[in-house]
Amino acid sequence: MKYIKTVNDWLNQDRHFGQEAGISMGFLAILLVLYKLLTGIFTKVPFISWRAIIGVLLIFALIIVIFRIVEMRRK
Amino acid sequence: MNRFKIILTMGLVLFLLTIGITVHGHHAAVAKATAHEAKVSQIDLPKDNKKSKSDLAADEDKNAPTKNGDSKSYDWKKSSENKPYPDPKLYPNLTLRVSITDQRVYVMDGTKKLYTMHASTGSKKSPTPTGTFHIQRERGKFFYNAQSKEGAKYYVSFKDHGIYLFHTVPTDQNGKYIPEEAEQLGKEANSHGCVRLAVPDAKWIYYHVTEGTKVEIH
Repeated sequence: MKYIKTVNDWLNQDRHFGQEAGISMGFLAILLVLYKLLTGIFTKVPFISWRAIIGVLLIFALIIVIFRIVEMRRK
Repeated sequence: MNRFKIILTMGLVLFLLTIGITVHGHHAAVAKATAHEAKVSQIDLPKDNKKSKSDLAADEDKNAPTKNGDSKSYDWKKSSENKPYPDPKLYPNLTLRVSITDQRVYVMDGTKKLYTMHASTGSKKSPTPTGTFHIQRERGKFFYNAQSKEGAKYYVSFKDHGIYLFHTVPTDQNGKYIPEEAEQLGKEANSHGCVRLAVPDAKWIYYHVTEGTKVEIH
């Protein structure tokens, strides 16, 4: 419970939008690289290429930009 | 839910979607490869069971018909060049560069050309894929495709795990080379997408070119 509370507090901290976008992109990039490495080690099959990882990150960046535009228009 | 949580959740959803798509893609590729294997039955050659590598070479010479009178034909039962094959251990950056235009396979070490092989790539109906690939795990001494009624010896996969291969000029189901097809080596792109090579060249790739070696096709 202590850890959940710590994580929740960290998530609820006030941040600049750029920081939030950067942390999210980094989080996704780490997950994708881990996925690539783990599948590569255990199955010897490259499930996802570096090009696909970059593609997913670009799509995510686009989603974040659209999200920001929508958010700003609402304000 | 604050903005940060929403963005993180979107990232997580995107990650899960990516996993789903890649796993589905992998299953589709495996299913395709399995279907191909069902058509391309890998069988032992007659009298092939307990023979050594040198015996196999001798067999090839017996099976191989002599070169016909066409002076333009390359001798597909001999090495493409009259020099020893390069030792891959000495060239850690060894690359197989396939030129569809030239109908050649160049064994490269960076920009240095180490060896040139005569080849036949895919015809216009079933072209050889272009791009950069790597030698895969799948390799064998003989296969026969009942659908195309052609087989080949010394195959090594470079794409789609057993679909696109380097191999010898084609054989019939008994492992005997088909001279009419073999004589097109180095002259005409007439394969089903694989890269056909002279027998000793394919044999060298089979025995010496390791998994992971870079293959460039252009």
